[in-house]
Amino acid sequence: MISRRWALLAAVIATSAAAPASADKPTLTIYTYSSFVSEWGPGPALQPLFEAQCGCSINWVSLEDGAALLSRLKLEGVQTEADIVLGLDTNLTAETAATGLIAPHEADLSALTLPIAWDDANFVPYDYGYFAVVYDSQILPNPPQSLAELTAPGDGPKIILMDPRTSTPGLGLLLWVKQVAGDGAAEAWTNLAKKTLTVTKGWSEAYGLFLKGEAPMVLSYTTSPAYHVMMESTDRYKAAEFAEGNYLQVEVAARLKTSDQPELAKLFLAFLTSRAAQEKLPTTNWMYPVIDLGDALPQAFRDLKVPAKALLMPSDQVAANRSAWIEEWLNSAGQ
Amino acid sequence: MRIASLFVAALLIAGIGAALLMLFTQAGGADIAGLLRSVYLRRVLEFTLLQAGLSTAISIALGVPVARAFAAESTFPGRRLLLGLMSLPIVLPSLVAVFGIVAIYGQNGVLASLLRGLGVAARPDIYGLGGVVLAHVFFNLPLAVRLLLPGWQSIPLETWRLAAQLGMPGWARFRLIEAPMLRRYLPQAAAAIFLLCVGSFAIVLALGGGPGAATFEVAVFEAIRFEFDPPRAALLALCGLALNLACLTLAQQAVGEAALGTGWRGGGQVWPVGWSRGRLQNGLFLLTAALFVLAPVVATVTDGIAGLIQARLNWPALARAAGISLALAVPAAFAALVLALPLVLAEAAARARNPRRAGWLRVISALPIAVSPMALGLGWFLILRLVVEGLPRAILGVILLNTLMAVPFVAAILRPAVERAHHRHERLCRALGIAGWRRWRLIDWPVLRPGIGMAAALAAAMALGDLVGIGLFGDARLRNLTLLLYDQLGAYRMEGAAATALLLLLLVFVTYQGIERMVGGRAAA
Repeated sequence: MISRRWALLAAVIATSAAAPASADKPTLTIYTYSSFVSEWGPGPALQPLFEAQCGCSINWVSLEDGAALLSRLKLEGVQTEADIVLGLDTNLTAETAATGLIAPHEADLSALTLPIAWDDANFVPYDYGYFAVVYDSQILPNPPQSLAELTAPGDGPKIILMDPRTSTPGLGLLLWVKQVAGDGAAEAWTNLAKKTLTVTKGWSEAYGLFLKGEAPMVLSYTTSPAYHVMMESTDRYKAAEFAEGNYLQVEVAARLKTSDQPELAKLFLAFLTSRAAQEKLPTTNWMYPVIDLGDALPQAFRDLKVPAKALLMPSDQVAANRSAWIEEWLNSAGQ
Repeated sequence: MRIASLFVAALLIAGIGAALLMLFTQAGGADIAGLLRSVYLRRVLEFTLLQAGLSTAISIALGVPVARAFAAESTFPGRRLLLGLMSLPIVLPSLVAVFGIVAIYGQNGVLASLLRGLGVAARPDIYGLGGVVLAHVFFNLPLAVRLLLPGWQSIPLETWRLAAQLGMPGWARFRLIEAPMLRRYLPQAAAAIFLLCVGSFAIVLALGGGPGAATFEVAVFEAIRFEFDPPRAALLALCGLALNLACLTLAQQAVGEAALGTGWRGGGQVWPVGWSRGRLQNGLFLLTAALFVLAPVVATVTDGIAGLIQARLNWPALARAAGISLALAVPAAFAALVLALPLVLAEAAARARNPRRAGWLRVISALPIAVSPMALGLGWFLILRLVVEGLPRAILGVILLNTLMAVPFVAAILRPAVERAHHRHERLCRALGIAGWRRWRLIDWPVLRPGIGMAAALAAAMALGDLVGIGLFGDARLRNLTLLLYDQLGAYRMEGAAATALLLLLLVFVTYQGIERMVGGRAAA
């Protein structure tokens, strides 16, 4: 009896871990973050499109987030197996380029319709979004109208934030406040701390707490309401419009110098900004496409208010100052 | 056993040392002086000591009467089920636990609406030190019960009978019988809980209310992820390790030497009380603890059922993820058992003749939870990539990390049973010349089986909730149920995530019960 149980267990182990072996086709190894290749992410939608086009197979290696991608690259150096790294954002590009591992993309990016000019020779943008304060309009009919109002002294409705040391939106807000408030950032953080319910490790915890009604506001993206409109048919959750503009996040991909599939890698980067690939991104990654999709952009996205101004700091400035600004945040918000 | 235990001890120390050493060999500028001067780090240390100290004190203060009640009320119907259900928090993924706790105690939770219904203006505000401690007690009260219960069960029935015959009053019974037992069991349990609270990460951030509430692990994470400074991470991990070692040593010093009973059967099958007040008290403690611990679990279950109804679930993907979770967790559990058993057996053998060695073995068996899992994981990632790659590396890495993390718990659960068995049979076996495999098969295994079953079950259940390993060694083909849950949360799929959380809970429960019965036999629990 017991041996049969063990045999069953062994069978479970063997079958679950068995990997599909590919034939003689070349393999393109792509490092990305976990949610990109989840069931709901863009990965499963993009993979068959590209594989049909290239006669190759994609090998996804998924890590936790964009910052994990950079640290993995630094860790592996020239020995990395990655041909493509996909899922960094503009705050990490300078540091990533500084590793010396990135090769120029050589892609034609003339069709880009980003809110900023794009002249980076290494990184190909594939989607973008604006960080925003998302609020529950049923509980909070009158959200703050500006970052200045949100960070003004006194009490106010509570907001759930993310830690800039562990989360990309968290870092986004740090830079947003710095760019808008400048030398007044420390004071702004001290004020905001009084209205902060909690500061979570990642976006998922924060957004989950927000949907559970723990606080009427959360740090997220201007595109978040589009999910609720399209998938849940509710316009209850909205993004606050801030007078100063919103901080931009551009997600990028790049190919590696050490890749043994340089042509395939270039082909993939070109594919990323193609119409076929871009059409998949809004409803899988819930971000804006980087080219004009016209009517193919879902209505819920076209209905979203575009921020007054796109804020973005140069990547090298972020790299040089991040530690100091995080220190400033710790000292002013951490009391 | 002595050689095997020395081997395992060396293996554990080498496993941890090699990982940290590997981090030090990486590029990066660990500014030791600057790090130690940092005001923030001092604050982290202060907050860590405060929250871990409070959490431990409360968990233990509540754990003692609850464990005692469980020991005294050894026959009520549903006891085993209640004990099993109450162990669920130990293995709950932290995010699921946070949502469960918030559903009860949050701004918009059950408690808040109860208060509203009663017309009370006050609203619970758990964010801050209170929330962190609340969550840690939720996690660790069950652990305290699990670790203390064997203490009462180690008191032989004859001792109770004698106490009853002598007409000992309650406080004398406590002072003469239970207090010495607690001196043996409490320091270990408290140390284990303290270590877990020191290492806690996502919970402290989620409920802490701001960056003032942080642990070393946040700093380690930052050093690895954003600064990419492995030596700094290793240094921070060493700071945490020093704190934890100090705590373990203190616990070691505090352990008293209670005489082990030689009675036939512990567990107070006939708890010699007959006092109704005592029974009422026990019932009250059990009820309160069950309410406190199970309310968030029930919230998770009801959310999950709602999720199952609302969300369109991809069952094949869920089944596959569950299979992968099991395939990674079960080997880790048994590997942890193989590592922990020699340590605990040798510790029991050394206790009488060489208490110092026994003490060392005990500290070593707790080492893996004294080290930052992030630092340990990254170190092992660096080591493994020298030898294997691809999917095998991911599988090996995850199992290895989960094995290491489970060893302390397996050892803690096995220890009381092993000590009792050793105490009872050692002389007899020596006299009769029964040794080696024959002794194991005839004498030790039948007695230890229930404890081994429980230990393996707990280890497997804990490994089922793994996220550190799977996140670190990530391979797109290796997506376990926990990762699936996080993917759903990351993709706005809250209902789906709630359903997955329920399935994970069920998987944990079934695995726990299954292994406990399969390995532990009928006499388990």
